[in-house]
Amino acid sequence: MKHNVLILGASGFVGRRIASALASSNEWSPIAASRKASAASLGNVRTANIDTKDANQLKAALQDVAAVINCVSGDSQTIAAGGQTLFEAAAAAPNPPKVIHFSSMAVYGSAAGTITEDAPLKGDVGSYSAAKVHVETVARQYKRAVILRPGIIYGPGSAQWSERVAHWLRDRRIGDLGPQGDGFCNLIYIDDVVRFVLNSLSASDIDGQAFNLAMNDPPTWNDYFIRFGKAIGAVPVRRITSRRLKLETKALAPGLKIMELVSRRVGIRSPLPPAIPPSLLGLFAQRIRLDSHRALAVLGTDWTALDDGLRQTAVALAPSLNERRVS
Amino acid sequence: MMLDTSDLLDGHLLSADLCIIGAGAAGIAMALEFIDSGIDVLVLESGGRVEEPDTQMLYAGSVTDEKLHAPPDRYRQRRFGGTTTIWGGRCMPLDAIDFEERSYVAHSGWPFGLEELQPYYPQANRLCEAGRFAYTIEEAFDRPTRPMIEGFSSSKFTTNTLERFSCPTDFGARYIHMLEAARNVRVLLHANVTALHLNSAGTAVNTVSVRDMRGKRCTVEARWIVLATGGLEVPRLLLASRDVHPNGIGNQHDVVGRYYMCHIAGTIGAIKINKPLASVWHGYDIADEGTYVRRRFALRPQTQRELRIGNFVARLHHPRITNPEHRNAILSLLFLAKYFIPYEYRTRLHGTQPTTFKEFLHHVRNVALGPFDAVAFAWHMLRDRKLAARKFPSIIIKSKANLYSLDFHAEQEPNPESRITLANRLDPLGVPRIQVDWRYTRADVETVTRAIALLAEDIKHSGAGTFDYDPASIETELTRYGAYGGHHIGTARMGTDPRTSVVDPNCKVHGVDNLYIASAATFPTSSQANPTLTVVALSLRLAAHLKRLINARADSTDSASRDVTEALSA
Repeated sequence: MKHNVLILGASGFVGRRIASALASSNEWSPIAASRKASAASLGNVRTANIDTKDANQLKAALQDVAAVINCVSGDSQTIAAGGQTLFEAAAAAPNPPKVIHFSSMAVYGSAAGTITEDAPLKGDVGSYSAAKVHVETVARQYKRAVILRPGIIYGPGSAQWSERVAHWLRDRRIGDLGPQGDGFCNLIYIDDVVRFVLNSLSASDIDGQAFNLAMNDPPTWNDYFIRFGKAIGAVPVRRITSRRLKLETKALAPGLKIMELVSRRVGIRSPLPPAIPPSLLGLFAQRIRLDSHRALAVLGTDWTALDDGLRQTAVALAPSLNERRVS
Repeated sequence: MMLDTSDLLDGHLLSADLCIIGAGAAGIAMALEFIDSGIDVLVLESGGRVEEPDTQMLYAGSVTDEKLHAPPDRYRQRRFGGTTTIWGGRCMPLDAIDFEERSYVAHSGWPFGLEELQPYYPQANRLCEAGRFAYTIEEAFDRPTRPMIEGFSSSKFTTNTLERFSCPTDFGARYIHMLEAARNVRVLLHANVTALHLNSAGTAVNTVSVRDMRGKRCTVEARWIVLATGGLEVPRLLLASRDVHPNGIGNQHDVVGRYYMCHIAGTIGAIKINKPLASVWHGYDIADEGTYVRRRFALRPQTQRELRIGNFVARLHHPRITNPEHRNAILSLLFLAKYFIPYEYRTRLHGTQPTTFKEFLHHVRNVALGPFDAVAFAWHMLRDRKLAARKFPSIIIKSKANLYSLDFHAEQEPNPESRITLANRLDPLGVPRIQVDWRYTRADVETVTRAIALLAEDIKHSGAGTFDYDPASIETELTRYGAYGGHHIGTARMGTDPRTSVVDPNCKVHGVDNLYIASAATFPTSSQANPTLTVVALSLRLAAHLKRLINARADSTDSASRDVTEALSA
């Protein structure tokens, strides 16, 4: 008999990929949940309308599930309130489910150096990181929580770290950033994330633990941009001056972001290129390296090699990059 | 962590596991390698973050023949980042033949081969921001590129090896953020080392004397010392530290300061290519990671052996700028703009000869007759060099007449009579100034003469065109600007025999257990290659060696402590 597994945030990049992988599982029966169930629809996968901030909805949904995977993303308020409600509801459920909770490397805040899961959670780089720390604090009270702290999830479908970056690279708006790109880019390929989640569902002895998810020996952001640029044919990769980066993040980003929000509100695609948010400058320079040896022991195999991941990403992105170029 | 001597008390004693003297390409490369190593590192830098005239003038000295060598305070910078604050950025590794003991190159031979440096070159390339360590056109590109001269082939020269260009990266500005954040590395600015003090047996450095320009004194104690200054300052400090050894440190056999090499370089002749303009490509290609790279003619090792001459490379170049007969608006514009070009580059562009008023007017006329070319060139230099983070490396001018000169760069053979000594004058901190007596040999002239003749022959025989030059002018051309500025090599050479070398193959000074040198001073021969990339590679190799050494010592100390603890508890 299959066990029900509820995927919260199933309309997003990670949730959707996990739901898709679980759909072919012999052990698990996924329920793809989102604020708008239609957004999470995926073949024959069951869907559910759930707003994680609504305790009653969550309580009802947790009646008959063996596990929950929390992939909800959004603003810091949604993350903090939704996370708290989830763990309270799980604790009150007749059969408390295993909860695999997607936290983030952002919980380590401004830390530098090689970071294991035992490092203090600083949460000092903005409201997003503080919200993630808040939810982890709540999750720690729940015995069946498994906390995942992924780095930069890339791969086909990653709007944030693959598609957006590819467009920046193609338009030569980003590239070799010099000192400003010396931070470590703790990449993790989407398929590795999915594999890890599937293994975590079956693993009986990892409840209550946290796991960093990132490839070993991560490249710097400069290396990532150069290698990704080469993979998508956006060469030569340009050296970006700090002057240009400042112009992008301080002067252009606010306008582009407003246009993006307005376009989304009226239901059209923004005619303007994606903004480079100023918040990324700190990340690109941060010398933090996630130690994910603990996760590798659960995974049992190695992470996808960066060149393989980039190659597959480039293949998936080719139509979109070409389409934008033609238009 | 960045510190300043002005923040310390007079007479302050600083301790560290490792003290690196000099924060240029070598010192910074080494310091970066030790970040998070658990080893306490102190970097002493004479200057501050920008050039300071009084500190810079500590480099001043005398030159025996001023026509042959620039003043010693030129082409090097005494400040954080060292001479990388002004370098041109040309990078290339040494060739395998450079390491060989060649019977026809006096005093040649390294104590190891190219394979010893190979593991360190890729990281050196990264630090220099010169892209991938790929130095042939085939390795660097997976797409077709233009040949240098269509149809040119030669059994004596290759045209597929590359020189790659750094941004050019100022190591200080580029890596300061890492050093600032490092918990185990301290960089002390305005820390002029005035002497190294040995123990009474003369077998180890006990302390290092430091002064700032206001007279404040500090002392440094460290288990290991690395002298990571340039090839002129290394012999100066060794020779000036003579409280135990009267001839200076490492100088029992009078080798320190000798074998001083630069490169033999110049521009000569007229190469006329008898092919369409598009058949010649003497400019830069851009590699995928954005690095500028350029092909050159390189004399094959086999030919060097057959002809018994040194290493040699050459590039197609524009005609001499000073002579307005070239009728090129861009070249004349460069001539007229000479006062805006830094001294280190101005000399080779414009020479040192005074210009007549008639020549001046002729240059003005050239610019007036080609205003669009001049404006387009000015825009290119503004956009691609002045405002760019990765700068267009040099002036490339396509000759409409398919006419070029030859810019050559050749190995100088080690010569014990070419040397750095201490002068009688002292600098304001009491350190003797240097006397530079740079000399070249007949063999150096012969290398260039034979190589150029071969190239002229090959250009003609391949049907590419003609190369006219006056063989009698070669020596004049190669001494026109004197020793190639900034390449200070060989003054504390590496070898296994203390009678003919200063440091051993690990760059440790013979007879001094804890003193190492990271500098072009240790190169036994000069190669055709610019030295910075190899300086960085050697520094990385030395860092790896010292890490092993220091960690092994820590392990043996731990083990000894354990033995004592066990013995006490037994």
